[in-house]
Amino acid sequence: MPDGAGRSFTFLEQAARDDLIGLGSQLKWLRELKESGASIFKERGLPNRSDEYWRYTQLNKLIEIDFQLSKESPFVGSKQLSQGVSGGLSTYRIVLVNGCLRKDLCSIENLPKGVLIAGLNAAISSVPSRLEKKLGKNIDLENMPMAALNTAFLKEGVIILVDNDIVIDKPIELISITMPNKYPTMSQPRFLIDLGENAKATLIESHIGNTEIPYFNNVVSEVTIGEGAGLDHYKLQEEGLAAVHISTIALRLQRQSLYRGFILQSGGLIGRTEASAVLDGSESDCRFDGVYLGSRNQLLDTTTSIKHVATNCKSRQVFKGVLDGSAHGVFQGKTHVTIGAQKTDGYQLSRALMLSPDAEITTKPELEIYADDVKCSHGATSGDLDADSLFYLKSRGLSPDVARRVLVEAFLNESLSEIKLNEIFEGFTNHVRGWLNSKTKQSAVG
Amino acid sequence: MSNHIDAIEKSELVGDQYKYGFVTDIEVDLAPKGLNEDIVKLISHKKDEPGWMLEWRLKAYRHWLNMKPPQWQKVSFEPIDYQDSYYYAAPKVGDKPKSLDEVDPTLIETYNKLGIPLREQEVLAGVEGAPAVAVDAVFDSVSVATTYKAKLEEVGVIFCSISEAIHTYPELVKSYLGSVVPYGDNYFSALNSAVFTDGSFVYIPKGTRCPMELSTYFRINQENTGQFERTLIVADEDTHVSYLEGCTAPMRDEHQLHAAVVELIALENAEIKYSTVQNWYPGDSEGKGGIYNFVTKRGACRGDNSKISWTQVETGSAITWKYPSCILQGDNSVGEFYSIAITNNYQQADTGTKMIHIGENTKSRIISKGISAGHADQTYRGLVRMQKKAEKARNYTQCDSLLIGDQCGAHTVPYIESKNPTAQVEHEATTSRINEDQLFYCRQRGLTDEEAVSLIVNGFCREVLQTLPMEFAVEAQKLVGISLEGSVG
Repeated sequence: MPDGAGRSFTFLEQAARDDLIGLGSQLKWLRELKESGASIFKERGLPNRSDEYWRYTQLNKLIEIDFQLSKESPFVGSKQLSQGVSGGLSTYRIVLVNGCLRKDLCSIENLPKGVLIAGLNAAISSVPSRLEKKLGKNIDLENMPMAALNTAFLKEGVIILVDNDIVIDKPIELISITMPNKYPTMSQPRFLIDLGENAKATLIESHIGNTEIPYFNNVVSEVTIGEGAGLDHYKLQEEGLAAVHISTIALRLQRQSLYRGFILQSGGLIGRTEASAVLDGSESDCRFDGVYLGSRNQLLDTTTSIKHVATNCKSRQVFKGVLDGSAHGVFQGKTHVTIGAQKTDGYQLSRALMLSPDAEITTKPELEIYADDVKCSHGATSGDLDADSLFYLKSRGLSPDVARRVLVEAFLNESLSEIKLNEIFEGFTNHVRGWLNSKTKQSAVG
Repeated sequence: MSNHIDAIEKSELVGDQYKYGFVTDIEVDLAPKGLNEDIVKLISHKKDEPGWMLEWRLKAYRHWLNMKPPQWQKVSFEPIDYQDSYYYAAPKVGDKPKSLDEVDPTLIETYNKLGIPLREQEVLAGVEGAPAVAVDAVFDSVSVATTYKAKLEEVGVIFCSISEAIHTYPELVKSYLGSVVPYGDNYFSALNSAVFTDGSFVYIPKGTRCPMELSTYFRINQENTGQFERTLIVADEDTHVSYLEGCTAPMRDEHQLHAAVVELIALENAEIKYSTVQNWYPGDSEGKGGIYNFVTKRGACRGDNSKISWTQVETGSAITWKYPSCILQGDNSVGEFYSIAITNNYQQADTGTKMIHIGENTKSRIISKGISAGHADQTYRGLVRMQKKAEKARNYTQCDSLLIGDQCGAHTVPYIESKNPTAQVEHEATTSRINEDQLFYCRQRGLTDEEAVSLIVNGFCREVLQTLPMEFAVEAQKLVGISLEGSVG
């Protein structure tokens, strides 16, 4: 605990130092927002075992290593840019390298009218009043210490604002790449996505690591989906081997809106995606699906919370995990139905496959329900591959390796098939196959 | 639907439902109010306990002083003033009665009123041809009578109060007491270890199948007393025992604390079946009064092929905090947990189980049915842990919640941890309300609203009710209906 407190302090010192050269001090509302983040983080410190939603994910790495905000933004070639999962789709692209926006790599020309995509820093100068109304409004910082830390650093990031009735013709691709640096790098990017009434957009978010030295990426995404609007959100977390990736997604859904989120986590030494949605307007529909692929000594944590506030809303979550080596998978999913949120339909499924004797899985599917006319359920399973199915495939002439791969792919397909865009489905499927191939190679060598 | 709710809300009031709410006027021996080392010593002295027992109590008490009450459970209540309660209350008697004829007739009358016959020739009311049940009756702090002792002794089964066991079988008690629930386990187990006053002790010798159901009936009567009983059941190799527990308390405006500890030990090939019908006074319809039921129950399947099965019907208590658990150490051992929890009015319950799989091929099954009505709040909280060596272990968990009315809450918080890939864990949970079509069907057949709800809820709980011994099943089915009277909809 004292170490954690000490580290919290050095984090905040850095945030304050960084602020002197930033814009934060010039705008009162922004300064106050950052200060509130800093003071909450100062009080809470780094989350530890006594925080219910951090019981299984320890952040000691953040105490051991002195992470610094990156001052440089190294060269990035087209090879790195193609590591995402856009599957060759034509997209509007925005790129961060080591946490800094790289205009030279972005392609956001010819945006439809009514769409603003920009770096957060630039937007603070150009459209401060629009940001004032949106920034930090969706996040419960008190209960999200890592988002509070991000708020203290608030500077770099991306904003995507879509006006009413705009349907964006191409997906927006957001790529965050971390390249090797002389010192352990830290980035604290903030993404703000706001869809006006009846707007439609697709967002493909990739976090790619190109270094095996430790770095720390603490991302916060704020998403508001207006009445009748819809967002398809795909996220790939493929950080470097020694990285710590913490991501907080805070969503707010208005009436009759639709959010479809898909998260694939396979990178990082510690990877955590925490998504929390508030279904504010009736007849809204929220989906989170995902896959996590763990190997080595990775810890992959997926934590979700869906809060039904309005009536007649739907939520659905299907998460599948495959764990190899001595990887530890964590899934914590909560469906919360508040008083009066009648006619809620909430479904959640979490299944994990353990491929190695040292793998570990922890699941905590949670229901908190205060309304009677609801239909809520969850299911959770864990175990290894079904011996009968393996035998069947082998008896048909498949090698043990191929048979296992077929079964693992089939297992993951229930979640992957929730992806609606074909190209992206292919992109994620290829990623899964790549991961499985590397496993086979490893086991062949071993 | 709304007409239907109104109709029911206008009907019966809660006061009629708790028929055990009477007080028995009986002379009692009370220790001074409050809790300190002297009280612990006094309890030990009153029981004429050996030195080692007092030592153990004092260690527990000192440990308790440094502990904080748990905060993680989803219940809310005013902090308990542990100094404002009596820790020892016993019906005043001269010498210990040698036979039932010498027991104070008022006491016998009380148990008769509760439907618990202490006369050996009688059987439980209402069930013709039911087998005899041996009963240990605990009134406030002490055990007042144990029936069928002679018959049990014939086969070597020891069934007596724990105070008696401490005197008569000190070696057995010494080697098992606190071995499953150490005194420092949690706040309430530490408190219980310091001040427990009585409870039951069962020992089944090797190769014996206990010839009858064993039962303990707990009754809190005295005002301002806490009840702290301790039950220890040891099933030696190749044995079988079925044990029933029942409890009631008078209706009082203030809350009373009940903090019990139950320890079960099953050695090789032993099977223990532990059933509880918990019907402590739940408080009135405004949430006034009622028992705080903070209980630690845990069983250890120490030997290979052993089995521990918990069945609970929880209808009473203002607040329930209880997680009957199984530690599955022996290979092929089996743990079961069947639970029905009904909360109505302002009752709160945070209950569930823990299944810790350590041995190979261990199996566990959890069936939990929660019914929440009125302004009640109920949580299923459970842990299933597959340890590294639990090869081919299996768990199946099913938690269903039924909500009756839009002011109550039902929550499910399962923790599932697996460190062994060959271990299979399955968990399912659902939350819903009573199907309108089912209600309509029943009403159309001439059932009143309450009968219909009672019938449907009994159906919902059927899987658990079936696991109860017959004598209890009849009682429990009635209880399910009664508990929901007055505020169903």
